[in-house]
Amino acid sequence: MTQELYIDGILADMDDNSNVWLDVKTNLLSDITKIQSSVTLTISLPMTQNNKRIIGLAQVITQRQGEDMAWRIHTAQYRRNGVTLIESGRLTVVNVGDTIGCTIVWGLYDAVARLLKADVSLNALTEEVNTVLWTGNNTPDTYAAAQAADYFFAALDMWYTTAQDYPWTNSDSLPATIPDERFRGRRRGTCLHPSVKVSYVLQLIQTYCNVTINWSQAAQAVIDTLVIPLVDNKANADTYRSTTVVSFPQKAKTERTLGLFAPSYVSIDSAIFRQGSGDNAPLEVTSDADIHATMSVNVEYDMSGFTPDSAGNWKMRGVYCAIIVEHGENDRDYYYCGLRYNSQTSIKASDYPSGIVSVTLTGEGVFPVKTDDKVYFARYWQQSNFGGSNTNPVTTPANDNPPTTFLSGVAVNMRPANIEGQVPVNGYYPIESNLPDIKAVDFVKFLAAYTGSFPLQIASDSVITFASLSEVFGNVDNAVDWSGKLIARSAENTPKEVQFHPNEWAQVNRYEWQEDERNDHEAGYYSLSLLLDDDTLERERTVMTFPFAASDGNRVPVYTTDSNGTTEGSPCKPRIMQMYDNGGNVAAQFESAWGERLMTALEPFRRSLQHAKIITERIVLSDIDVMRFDERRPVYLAQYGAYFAVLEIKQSNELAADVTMLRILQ
Amino acid sequence: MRQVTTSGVTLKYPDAVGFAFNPCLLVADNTQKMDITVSNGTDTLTMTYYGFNGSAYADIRAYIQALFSEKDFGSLTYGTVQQIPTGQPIYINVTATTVGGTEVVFSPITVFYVWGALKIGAQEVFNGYRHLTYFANYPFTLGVYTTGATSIKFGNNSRSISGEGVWNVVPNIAAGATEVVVRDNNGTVRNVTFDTTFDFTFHLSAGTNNQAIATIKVDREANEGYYLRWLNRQGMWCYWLFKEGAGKYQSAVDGEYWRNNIIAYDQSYGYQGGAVRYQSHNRQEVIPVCVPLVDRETWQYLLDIISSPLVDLYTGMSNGVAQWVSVNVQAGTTTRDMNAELSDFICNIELPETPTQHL
Repeated sequence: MTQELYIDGILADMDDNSNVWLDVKTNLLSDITKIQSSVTLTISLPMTQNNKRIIGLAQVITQRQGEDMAWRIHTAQYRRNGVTLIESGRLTVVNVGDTIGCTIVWGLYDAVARLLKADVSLNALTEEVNTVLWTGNNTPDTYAAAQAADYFFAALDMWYTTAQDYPWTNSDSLPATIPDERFRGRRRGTCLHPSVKVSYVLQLIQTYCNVTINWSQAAQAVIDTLVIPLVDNKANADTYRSTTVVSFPQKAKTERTLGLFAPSYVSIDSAIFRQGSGDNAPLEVTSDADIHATMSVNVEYDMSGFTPDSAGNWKMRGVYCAIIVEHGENDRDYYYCGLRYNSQTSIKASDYPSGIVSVTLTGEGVFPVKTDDKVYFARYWQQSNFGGSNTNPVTTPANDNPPTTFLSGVAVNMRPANIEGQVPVNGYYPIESNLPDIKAVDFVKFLAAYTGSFPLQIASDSVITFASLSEVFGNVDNAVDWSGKLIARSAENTPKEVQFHPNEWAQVNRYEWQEDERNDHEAGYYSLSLLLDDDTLERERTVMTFPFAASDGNRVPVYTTDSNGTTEGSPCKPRIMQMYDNGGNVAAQFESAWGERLMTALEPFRRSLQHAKIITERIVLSDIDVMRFDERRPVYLAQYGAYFAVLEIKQSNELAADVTMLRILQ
Repeated sequence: MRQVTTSGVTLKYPDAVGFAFNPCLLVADNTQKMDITVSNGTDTLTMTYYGFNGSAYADIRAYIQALFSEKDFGSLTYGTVQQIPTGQPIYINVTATTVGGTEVVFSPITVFYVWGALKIGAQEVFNGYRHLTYFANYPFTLGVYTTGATSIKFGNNSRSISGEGVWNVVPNIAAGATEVVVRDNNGTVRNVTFDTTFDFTFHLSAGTNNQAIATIKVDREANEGYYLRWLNRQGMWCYWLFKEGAGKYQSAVDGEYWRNNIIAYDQSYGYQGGAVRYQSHNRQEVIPVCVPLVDRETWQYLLDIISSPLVDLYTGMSNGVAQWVSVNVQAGTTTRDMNAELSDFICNIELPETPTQHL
């Protein structure tokens, strides 16, 4: 027998005592929350110079640089008789004495470690966040469009309503038009939130964690219908996509005071403002925001008619502009740009032979606006004169008349200064960053449980392949015959060992949804129990609490009726739903039959588990057999006339393996 | 040991030649901490030793050993002369932190380290005068350590050596000569003897020009037996053509007793006789080899084979390249009659396991 163990790509020395026991564990019986990897028992490597170098002289106690090898996870590849049994393992040095003790983990480990290590929530999977315009009154997309899209508006009921929210009002005289509120409380609009396809979320996970996740056909079919209606509606930088741009008309004016005026609005960010009517056409604020504004004004003064003073300077004051935020009557904040006070500026006349003095005034800052505030724009001449008594002589024209002045290129740009808070009506709704705060690994585990899948152990690096439990337990046609490979314990025809009780399982095994007081039904209403009729087992246990809450039909109760369309308190827990074609448009609702679907799929598994016979046998398995082992294929043993699902293979150098199998009850 | 005092700190450090499997000591006084860097020019290892009561002590042999590339020791070309990596200069830098907290940086130290060990207190000579036998039908080299460039003269013929190192010199002996005295032209083949009981490093003797360093007997006839080479305890390759004794072939059960009931059922109802197998047997060949009636010096020369970790059996030439297969010398007792001048040398070599089929 030849063995080759490569640690970090270097061939390690092995001797007769360097037995490598492979322990291939399938995840058939262990519940999905405890994904286990294949491991080796401790391998003893001789203390050769080469091996000592590989572990970075870990046996030396002296404190030294670069002595981290014993604390690192190393890559390992193991070949026996030329057959690669561990393609991509992770090796850990356990201890060093007369020999070097180390273990290797492989199989699922790498890919699952990537998910665990990423430790990422669904709402942080990508920085490239897409947005969709949210009017507060969006209508469902067509089903055809939804099928092609990653996210869309599906028909949902986003309102949290209780019985008293719909008081019956008996009106003696019906109004000419029936107000919306009559039947719908104080709801405003449908307030539909976008829904995101689960398949798209899985794609994001795979990209972020650099793993590939494969599902069985049946599971994929279920997953393809699942959507996550967004519960959160946090704004981001893209929510306020447009900038409010205001320009002042070019104006030549010799008047001193101009005051408020109606500017022209080049564009208006409808998430914050709308154009008001009335005097001076102010902007009306529709949602609270901190506004970051910049203002830029080009001013040209025609000084050609003015005589410089004895020093050759024109003394001048000029114009200034202002943004005025009116919170209410007599409650105004002014934000100025330009010369505000009575200061004079000396300008050397000889620098401007044409007599035209050109300056650019700029202003920048952040100020708050509140809903229902009004924003005005104004420009002012400096109140004081240009050539009056308190100035040095500016002869012609005299008597305070300012020079002819052109304002040009006056522009105000306004954007929200920060992006906290909810998406306002007419804002852009960020999609990916509003996915629920659920860890990617928990999400994948949920999908596995929801679809009755288990991860295959024999997998290549960075790939998690899920198979359906029904693929194993309902698929004896696909079995392999190991009758000739069985090493009988004795001349008697009985297994080496039989166990009857599956570890970790109880009589009642519950799959729970998150509790949500906004649901009509009490906690536990939607939960599912896998029942095993085995008195010796523990009474009850929770296999998994899903990261989502179940829903009453199509209800995602984010909005309360007394909140005018904004969320009060905490919105509901994250939901997961199934999309369907609702008369050409897409709608979503909770898959109420999920339990039946799952139980039907799991029935052969449940039956086999209920009266479990778990046998351990010595089986002659060549290295190639171990390499090609497929957990999905049941095993047939003619000795017992039964089919089995393989749970664990322990194989040493001896080519015969201890195989633990669960009898399949068809 | 050498010693140097810098800024009030006295550092004792190895002599010009050191052995990687003897203690490799650095001792400093008035020191709370020693930072040491050892390098072979390619790899560098850095470590820190803490002292106690003002005295710091470091045995850095594990680091020295790690700087050797033992996998390359056997890559001999048997061309003319070849330097082998069983010896190399090691550069040691020491920075001591005194008890008062001052850092004292010592001048770099260079020690030529040899992959091997000398017997402590046994007057063993490294690189000393040797009597060797050259089996002319087999590949052979003379191992020498030189401190600089020289010419190794085999009578009138010679081989040039370019500098310091452990060299394997293929003999260049005139046709027909049966014995030749090998001389070192420049006096760079300097030997080392363990002669100071509590000092683990070694002075070099003074070299003399044209000094005789070995006598080589030439055996042009012998062509039967097991030709072995081994690395002696001082990092030099040794060769001998052993005679073969009676072979022993051991087999052992590998794998387990295998009973398969289903096969028995197929054959006839209730009969289970044909279904019993052992999975496989393995086979190991052990061959006693001997050298009859050798003198004391040759006997000592051969004795190193029983403790050498690198013993190779010559399997012939392939495309002009000598082929070797690793063998094991069985552990056991080797005895010598101390009264007789001539004595037999016997040991057992294990050939690699013989492949067998298995079920």
